[in-house]
Amino acid sequence: MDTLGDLEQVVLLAVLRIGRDAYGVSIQQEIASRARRDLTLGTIYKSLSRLEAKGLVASRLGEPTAERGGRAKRHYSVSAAGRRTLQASLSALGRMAAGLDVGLEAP
Amino acid sequence: MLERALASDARDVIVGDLAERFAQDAAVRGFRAARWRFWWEALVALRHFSAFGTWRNSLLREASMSSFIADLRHGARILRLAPGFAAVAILTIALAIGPTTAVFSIVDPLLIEPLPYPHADRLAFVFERGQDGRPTPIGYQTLQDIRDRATLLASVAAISSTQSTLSDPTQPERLDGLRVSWNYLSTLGVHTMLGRAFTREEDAPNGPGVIILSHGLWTRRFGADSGIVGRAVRMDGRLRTVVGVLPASYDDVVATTRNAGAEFFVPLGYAVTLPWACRTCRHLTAIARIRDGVDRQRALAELNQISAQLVSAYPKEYAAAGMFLTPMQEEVTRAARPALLAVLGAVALVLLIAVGNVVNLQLARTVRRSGEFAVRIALGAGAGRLRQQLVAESLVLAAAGGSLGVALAWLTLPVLRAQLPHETPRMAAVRVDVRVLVATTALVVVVAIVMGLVPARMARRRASLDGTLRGGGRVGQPSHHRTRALLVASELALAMMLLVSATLLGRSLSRLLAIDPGFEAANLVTLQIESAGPNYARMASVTAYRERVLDAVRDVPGVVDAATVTTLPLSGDIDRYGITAQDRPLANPELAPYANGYRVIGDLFLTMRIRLLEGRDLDRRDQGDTVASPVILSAGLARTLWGTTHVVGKRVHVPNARANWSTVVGVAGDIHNRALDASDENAIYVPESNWSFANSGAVLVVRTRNTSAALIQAVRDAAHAIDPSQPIVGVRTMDAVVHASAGQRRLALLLFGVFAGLALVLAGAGIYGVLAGSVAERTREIGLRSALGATPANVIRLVLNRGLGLAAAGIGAGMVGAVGLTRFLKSLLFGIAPTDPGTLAGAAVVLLAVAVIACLIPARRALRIDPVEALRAS
Repeated sequence: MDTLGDLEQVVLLAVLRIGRDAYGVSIQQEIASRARRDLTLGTIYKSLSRLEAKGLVASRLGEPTAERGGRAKRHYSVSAAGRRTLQASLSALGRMAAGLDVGLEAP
Repeated sequence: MLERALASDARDVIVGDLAERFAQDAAVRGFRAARWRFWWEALVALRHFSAFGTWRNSLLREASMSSFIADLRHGARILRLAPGFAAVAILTIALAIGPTTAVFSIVDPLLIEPLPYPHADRLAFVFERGQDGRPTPIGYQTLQDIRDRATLLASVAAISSTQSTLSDPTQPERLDGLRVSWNYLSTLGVHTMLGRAFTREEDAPNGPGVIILSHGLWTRRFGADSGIVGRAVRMDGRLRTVVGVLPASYDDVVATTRNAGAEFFVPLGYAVTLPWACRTCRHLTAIARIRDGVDRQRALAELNQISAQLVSAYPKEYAAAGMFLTPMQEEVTRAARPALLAVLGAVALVLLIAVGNVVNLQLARTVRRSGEFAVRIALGAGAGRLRQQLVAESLVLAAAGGSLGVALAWLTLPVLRAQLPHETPRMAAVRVDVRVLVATTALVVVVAIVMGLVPARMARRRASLDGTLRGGGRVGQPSHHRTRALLVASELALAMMLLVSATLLGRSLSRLLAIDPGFEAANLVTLQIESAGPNYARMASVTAYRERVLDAVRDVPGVVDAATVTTLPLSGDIDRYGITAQDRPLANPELAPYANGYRVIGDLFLTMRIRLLEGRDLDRRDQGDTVASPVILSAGLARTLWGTTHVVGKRVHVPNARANWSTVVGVAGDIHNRALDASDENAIYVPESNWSFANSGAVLVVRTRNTSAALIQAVRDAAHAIDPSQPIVGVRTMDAVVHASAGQRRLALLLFGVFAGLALVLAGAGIYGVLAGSVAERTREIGLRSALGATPANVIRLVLNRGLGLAAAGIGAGMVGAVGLTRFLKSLLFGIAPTDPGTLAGAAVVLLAVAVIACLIPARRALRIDPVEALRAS
């Protein structure tokens, strides 16, 4: 099974959190407000395309909207494999942090 | 550009996201911040999703970053070993990058960078079509009709330039400002930094006295006091409450009277009931914001439709149907555009010449270094490695030269800025900023790549281990000579084009300034005098004040005569009225021919030495004679109205004159009103007191015995003493006014002159370099020839033949190029054809002379070759 990079984890979690309306800008904002990380759209898309190549996320093209100058959005959702990989990755992290007295317990 | 550079599959999605993010940022954090963020986002997106990704990767494979840095270090070391070559190359690059950077700093904010308003591409001026088919300002009622009927314009604002005196007991100051409709700021998309914009209620006749200050005025005169909103300031003696302060980023581009642009804003205060808000009162400038997603042509079509409706409803109030919707940037940079584009072209030529020179130097060095390259190839360096190393060396040179050039640009830019015509908008944005630095860096990298790749091709071709080891590095292949000759000939051709252009511009300017403007500009001093405030509420007090100023000025020793006039010819200030002859009635009064109106007190014709062709001069008794209402016409206007200048005694209708019919008492010679190169000679001169209103400002014109600073100061003091509360500004000699009217051409000439000089030096250096190289390479041959009995004359001819052959080829090509290129200068030329044979011949002679001088040094060196030494060395 693939292992996930830190960035990939964050992006996957953001897509999961947002649910149906996950696309570039909303993912960027979710990460900015929760993780306090100011990622560029390019970085996010790079990560998303890698995740998609691994089969961890799926995407579909949405409807064009006016505030985007009539351009379409690409919506993302986490696949079953994505959920499993994320779970494995997070629990590995949790096990690594468990018992350390540095306030790093898994949530 | 971004869209094209992105891989097609990602394009829509990413650009869409960027646009959305931009819109959000612009709303939350302001336009500037959003723009920065946008560019940053775009750059990162490009890095990840560039359509050129595959190309980039292949490049990176061949030349990994670490080896490139090593090459850079190696390059710097090698250049230290050849300080002469490095110095010449760096200087040449600096001399090209410097002017390029300076010119780009000027061109960018004016022609390339969008105006500093959100979605500035949506902003446009609305003009009516005048009787001459040209755009004219708009009347208030027409503007209201457009507001009511146009569906494709998001908003339409009206503005009118104005000046007011900041009444300050110690330091009164004349300020440029704008009277604006309440929606002016929202139309531009500008928000106040402090306080608020005007409300609809404030923009009404006799509305409350309110004012918005520019950031500059707020800082300069009010100490950047953050508590200013709500406080009162005194303008023209009247108290106005400050309701807002604009941000520093607001840059006024629309004020027509311009020193620093508009510094204050007051409500327009119009209503359709006012007499000066009529359809034919065309003096307002209209600014429209076109709705998002609406094509400008469609919006214009709608305006034309509205215009057609208005013309059929009010046939006597419009001369012609149709309107103009001119993009704001195009309109405000119209005057500067031809000169700027020409200068940009010229600096590109200088850059090409410099690059030619540096490539030439590099080629000569490559030849000398062929041993080094052959050894490297033999030791396994691929063509790519070799190329990489040469580009790295060039990059070191170009970076050094580029930095020096930017420093040069930074030093010369203030000088250049002072030369820009003073009506040029966005002067403050003319500086070496981040945009300029990015552009210059890109240019330097391109130059470095060209500089490195051309010699690299040569190095690979010639570097055979065999030949090098055997021949000990001696050279002489024809292909590299051909390349170098071609380069030098091209440089000469480019220099020729610049020289021809500069000469044409110089001769145009001298012909232009030789034109008789219809008055004598020498020994004329002009000053702007004001009469603002409650003491000058009545017209009689204004004219009395001007009479007193005239009397005082006439008493100054050295003053011959003086007059006041409402606008000054050639100053750019235009005041036009449609004039109708009583005996030639018109069905549509809007078709009355225009004349420049001058309202006069004092002896204007004697003072300016405008010739009087028929009848008599205006005198003191004519002021206030509203029965006969005497006027003087220019010969041009007399001919336009009646086809003859024998018109004394005829009567004309002058809009805004107090009398319905005015009597022609004299006919004056034509003067150039608007520009030296324009012949709109219709003018009418009216006694100031016979006008229905008085402007607060007028120009005092004084004929003096000389224009010494002491005399000008004495005139100024005498005028100022009459009422010290009124500021006196714009003290200029008439000669300066005339010269300033040719400001655009003057700037173009200055830059072309400098560039042509630079081009000559660079081209001369190019010839010198090629000949010096060839003499060095042919030392043995020349020595042998001398030994076999060649005379010094033979040897000199050998060198000269080659040099002058190059020059002839270059000059010939340059002539063809000049004929093709100078067509683009046409709008800047005056009284001379772009293909003027004298100019072409003169430029050819100058270039030939430079070529001869450049040949002489290598020729002397060839003469000094000692045959014995030369043969022994080989």
